[in-house]
Amino acid sequence: MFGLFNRPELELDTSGNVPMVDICELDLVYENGHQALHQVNLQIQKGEFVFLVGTTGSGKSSLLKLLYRELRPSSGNVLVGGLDLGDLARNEVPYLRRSVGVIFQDFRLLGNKTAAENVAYALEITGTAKRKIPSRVAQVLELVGLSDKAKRLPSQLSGGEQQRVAIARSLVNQPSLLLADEPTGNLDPDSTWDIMQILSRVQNAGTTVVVATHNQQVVDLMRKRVLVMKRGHLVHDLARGAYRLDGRGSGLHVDQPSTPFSAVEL
Amino acid sequence: MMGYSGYFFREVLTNIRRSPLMSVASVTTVLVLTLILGYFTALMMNLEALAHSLLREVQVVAYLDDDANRVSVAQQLDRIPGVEEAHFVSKETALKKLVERMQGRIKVDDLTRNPLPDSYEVAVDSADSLELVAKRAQRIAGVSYVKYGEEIAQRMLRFNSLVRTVGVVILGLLFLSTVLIVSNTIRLTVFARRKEIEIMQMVGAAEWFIRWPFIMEGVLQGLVGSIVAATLVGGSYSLVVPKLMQTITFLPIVQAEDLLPMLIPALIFNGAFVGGLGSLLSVNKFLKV
Repeated sequence: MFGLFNRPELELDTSGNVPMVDICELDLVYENGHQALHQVNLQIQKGEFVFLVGTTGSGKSSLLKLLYRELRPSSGNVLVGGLDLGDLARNEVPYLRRSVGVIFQDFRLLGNKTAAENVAYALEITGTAKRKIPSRVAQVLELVGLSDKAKRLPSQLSGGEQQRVAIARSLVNQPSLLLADEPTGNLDPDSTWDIMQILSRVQNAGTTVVVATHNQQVVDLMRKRVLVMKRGHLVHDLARGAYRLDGRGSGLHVDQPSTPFSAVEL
Repeated sequence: MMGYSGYFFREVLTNIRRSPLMSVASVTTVLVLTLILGYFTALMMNLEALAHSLLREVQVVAYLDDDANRVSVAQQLDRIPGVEEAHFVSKETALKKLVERMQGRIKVDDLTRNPLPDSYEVAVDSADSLELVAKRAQRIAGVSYVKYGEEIAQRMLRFNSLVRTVGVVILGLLFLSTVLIVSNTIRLTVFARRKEIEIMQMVGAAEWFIRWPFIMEGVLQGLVGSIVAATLVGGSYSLVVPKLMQTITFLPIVQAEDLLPMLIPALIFNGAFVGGLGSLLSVNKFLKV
């Protein structure tokens, strides 16, 4: 009755035999009748790094919300690691979220907890043994380069550092999929670059990463797969693409970014 | 569960420390409502007791023929089911009582003879047996006629069931409003932490894991409020009742030691329950999937 014992068996298929994300004929209609997504078909393989671009209201955030089951599809299927999220019972959603990390533009840290406590929190709620928590927290904080600031409160950290704490928190449960909704929307160029480097490292470690962003320079420079959304439609899917909302300039020819972060090695 | 209990306990303490004013508000709400509930229950119990004692006063009176065999009538009365005691009142005693009741407006000397018959006052075990006992008594040889307070008894019975119905309805409404008021008060504290709940859901906390600290907080606040209220109700009742019993001797007031051992635990349990339920209702408003 406490809902703590009857943990649903819920494992994502991370073998690579199925796509990490498999979206099929997806429609999303909000209660007010607004259709946010039209007939989206999309596959993202295990270990990919994908940029999701498009103007505000194009459906990027809605698509991400479907992937961590904040929203349910109106029709069509959304599969994450082979799991059909439309069929997910309400009490299974928390267990999906442990395999899918999410970060946001506004960081969403608990203001009264230190950086380390914010990260540890994500472990506490999953019932991780208390003695295992400190080492795992230290590990992810080191990954995002915040070992020396573990005891600071969010208010004592810069925006970029707060976002790194959020990333550490999203990684501490070792998710197979990391979703980022405008992760650098509030950050200066240097911090933006820090975050992108970290996300890149996360991908190299084998996690699938999906980043919704407006940041043209980042997209242009990183040359990853780019999905272009327009008014709820997925209009372009470019391998090693650039930020072109009209889809011209495909991934086949490489544009030079106008103001490159040329000094930064990826 | 054991592994989590430490976490839950810490959460509860942190929350109370972080918003002490809200806790005070919740505790006070439970306190005031429990006070009302407690005094109302005490009043109800006393009304019930009053109704019962009044019913007990209602008795069957069997008037005897002048030549009736007292002993035989008494034996037959005793055999009627529902009869507890038949008490003989001689015509002399009856006259004396009458004169007393009239307070000098009639004098024994004025009477050439005693017009009153001998009678038996028959006590019955419950008001429900009144009618039956009266009928059976009427059939006994030597009994000229039987009287019982039909109308009074009926009214008493109606009063008794009215008291009970109204009491249950009011208690139910009080309980319901307590839950609603407490859940509204607690909703403010939950609302202040909705961002936190959102984050908990985002990082994959199970719903009951999110709910429990809030429920425990509500139970704790309910306990504190209702313990204080129950102490006040119990203390004042055991102080006031002995004094009342001295001054108003004719009212059957329920003794403190008969009422409180049941009332106090019930009030405390109710407070804890209401606090927990109120919390559960408010936290559910902010859990969305």
